[in-house]
Amino acid sequence: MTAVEGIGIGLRYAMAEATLGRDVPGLKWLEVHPENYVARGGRFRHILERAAEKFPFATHGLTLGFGAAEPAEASYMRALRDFLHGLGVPWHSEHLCFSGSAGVMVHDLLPLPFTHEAVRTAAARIAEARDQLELPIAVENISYYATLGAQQEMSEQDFLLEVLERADCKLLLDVNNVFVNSRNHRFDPRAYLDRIPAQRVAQIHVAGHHVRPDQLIIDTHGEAVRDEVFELLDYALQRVGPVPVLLERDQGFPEFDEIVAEVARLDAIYQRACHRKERKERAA
Amino acid sequence: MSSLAELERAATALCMGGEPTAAQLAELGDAKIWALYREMIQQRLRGELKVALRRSCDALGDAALGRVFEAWLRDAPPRSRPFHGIVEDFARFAAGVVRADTALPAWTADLIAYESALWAVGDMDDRASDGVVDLSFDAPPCFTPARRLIALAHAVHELPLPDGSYKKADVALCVYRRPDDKAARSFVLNPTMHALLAALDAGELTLTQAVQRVAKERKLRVDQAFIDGLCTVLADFSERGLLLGSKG
Repeated sequence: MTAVEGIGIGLRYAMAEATLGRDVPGLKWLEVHPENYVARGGRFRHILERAAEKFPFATHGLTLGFGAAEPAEASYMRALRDFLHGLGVPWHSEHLCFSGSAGVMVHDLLPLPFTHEAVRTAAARIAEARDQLELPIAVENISYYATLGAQQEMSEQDFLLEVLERADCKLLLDVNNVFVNSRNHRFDPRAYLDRIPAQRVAQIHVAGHHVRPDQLIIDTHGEAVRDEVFELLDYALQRVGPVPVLLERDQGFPEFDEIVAEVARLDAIYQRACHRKERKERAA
Repeated sequence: MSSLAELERAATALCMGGEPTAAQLAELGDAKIWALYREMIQQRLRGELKVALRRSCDALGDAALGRVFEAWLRDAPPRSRPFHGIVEDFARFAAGVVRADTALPAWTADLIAYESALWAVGDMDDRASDGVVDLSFDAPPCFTPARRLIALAHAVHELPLPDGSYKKADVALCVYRRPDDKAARSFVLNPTMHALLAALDAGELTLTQAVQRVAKERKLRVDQAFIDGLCTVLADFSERGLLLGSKG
């Protein structure tokens, strides 16, 4: 199994035939949402088995929500561990959010309050996941449209950095989410990236987003990646070096040629980061 | 200040609940945005149901579907971790509510149960957990896990009548997926085979024990004709990829 590096895309049933049936220049790995495959058979298992013959995987969960006040059920964590180890993934990532309460699942990524209590909880959940899944864990910064609760004790970025530090985990840096949040909450996305500890970044996500008529930006994964996000990715890779980059597309699937073109554009940015690293290493 | 658990509980309740009060929204922070979260979440859930249970949703119509959907989120919100599992969460609740609603056609609940079974079986894992050996009457049989028995009061698996309704008839269906199929299919079980499969599902009976139990309950003679019929059915189950052998 080759390493997860370079450009990946999500293994989505709607795009699976094209993803697996074509030779996509620059495409090196696939990302899998375990919830779509654990204990599932038929066409989904078939697609997964075909994909495994061609690509290495990284996995990205949708429902654990590392900020959940209650831990996930042990039976799911065992099934998830077996699934991840069966795929041979190098790490598992999840969102810094919550997705329900008392067993009720909202199936969305809801923002946490930016409080010390939430930092402690998230760090504990990440540690539990690392122990139970027996894998390195990366946590993803989410798009948030509002804060939760009347009082915040820190900014979203301070919250993220404190969780990373306390949990001593990796970051799945979602560049589109940084961009979306920077527009919705009015901050400089480059200044945000400047504060990210480069050594913690294990992977990057890029995606398209939707701008509503009221100018609120929603992270939909349903549109083409905007130029500004490509530029922000370039900036991020200049800082953190060539880490694996995933193109997220979960709905509004276009002609596959559009995905191929986005992968090529991402790969060009990634290759520049590789060359920079080589030059730096030679100089050293 | 509310604790993390309290805030998560309040946000979840708001997202799953009916029209929120101003106080509910204010507790969470930005009222407009939390109303938007609620709207996006409910739209996504409803969208999935409309794809998975297309005929049932069409039969209910927007108004009744809206009522049942709202009641579901309020009284028995989704607990399935995989998103595709919300369909069965909803169907379990909706079938009961719809059956009790005399304003809705009586066949609607059966249609929900049938479509939900097709949806669930369509993607079930079909790998048998036990070892499988050659079929023996002296061992519990091993069926594909990708199957489900359902008993209905209307023939919703058939084409509708000219007025769009379904024929009233007690019908037992085996919903299953062939190993290489992408979707589930179903066939009608006669009452004896339904009872036999139900008995096998209920406990670790050998095929002989299950036949004896069902024959006794249904007052049937296990004679040459019965055995011949049983063998024909078992051969059919095997050909469909439903009967894999015996549990090893």
